[in-house]
Amino acid sequence: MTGFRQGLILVTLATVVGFAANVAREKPLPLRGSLDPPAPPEPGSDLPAASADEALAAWENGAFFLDVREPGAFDTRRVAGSYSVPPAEFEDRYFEVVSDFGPELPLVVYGAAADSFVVRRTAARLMDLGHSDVLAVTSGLESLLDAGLAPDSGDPQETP
Amino acid sequence: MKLLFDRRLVLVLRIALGVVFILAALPKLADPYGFARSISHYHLVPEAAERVLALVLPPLELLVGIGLILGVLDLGASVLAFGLLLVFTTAIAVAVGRGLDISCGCFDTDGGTKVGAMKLVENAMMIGAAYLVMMGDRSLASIRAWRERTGR
Repeated sequence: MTGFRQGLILVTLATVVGFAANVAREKPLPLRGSLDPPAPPEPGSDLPAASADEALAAWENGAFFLDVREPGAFDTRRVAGSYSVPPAEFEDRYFEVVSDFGPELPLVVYGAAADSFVVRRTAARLMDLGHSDVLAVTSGLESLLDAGLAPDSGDPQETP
Repeated sequence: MKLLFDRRLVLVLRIALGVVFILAALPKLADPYGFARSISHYHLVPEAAERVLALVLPPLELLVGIGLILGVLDLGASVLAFGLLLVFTTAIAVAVGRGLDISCGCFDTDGGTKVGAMKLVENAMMIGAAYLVMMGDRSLASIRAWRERTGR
């Protein structure tokens, strides 16, 4: 009986200490719900996706089109007058063809329909670099061409 | 049999078990999230119970360890040590039986020893030691025995 009573004292003490220490912790252990913090939002995930019609209107207003697909796909088919900015070459291509035009230049970022994440991330990087007028078209190249933008292929242009 | 319950052997086992319990408690106290994850890998109790265990077990192990080493509430501490080791060993045996490839969460909360036959043997030896401490004469180098002797 003494052992039981002493054990009960120890369990009670441990319970009080355990819960009190948890309350005092900077990040208390929750009694329910996920133990893992929510994943940070993907870069650019809060950017509204632009439609192909909005991209067409931007084209008519002199926007600069950036294609995030790999160079091979870009050479095969693209929006006429657009520039290849694949993620792996973003910095080189940015300083080569985009930065000279200043942050006011309207930009439209597009890729293949499956490139939604890359398109948003590239648009977010451009906004981080100070560009305020950036459209992220996540519906893909074909939707832009269907909307009336001219296609092009072959060797890419070097300058606008 | 008498040799097994020798006061000096019981003292050595008592101190050793106390150290083991304290060493087991410290990393869990420092990382309750990791310990809660370790418990959840066993899939034995509901989520809320896992969290309560993650909060209560580490201080309990610490108190049991301190109680065994100092000889304070030593009967309760030794009963709990025996009981906790039985529960832990059962959980490990169930995990081994289910074929789970998980860390035991015994002395750390991140990685550490995997559950398996060796861990069961190790725990069986500790259960034996805890039984001897629980049933033996724990009066050597014990604050409780010293207070009883001196009336303080």
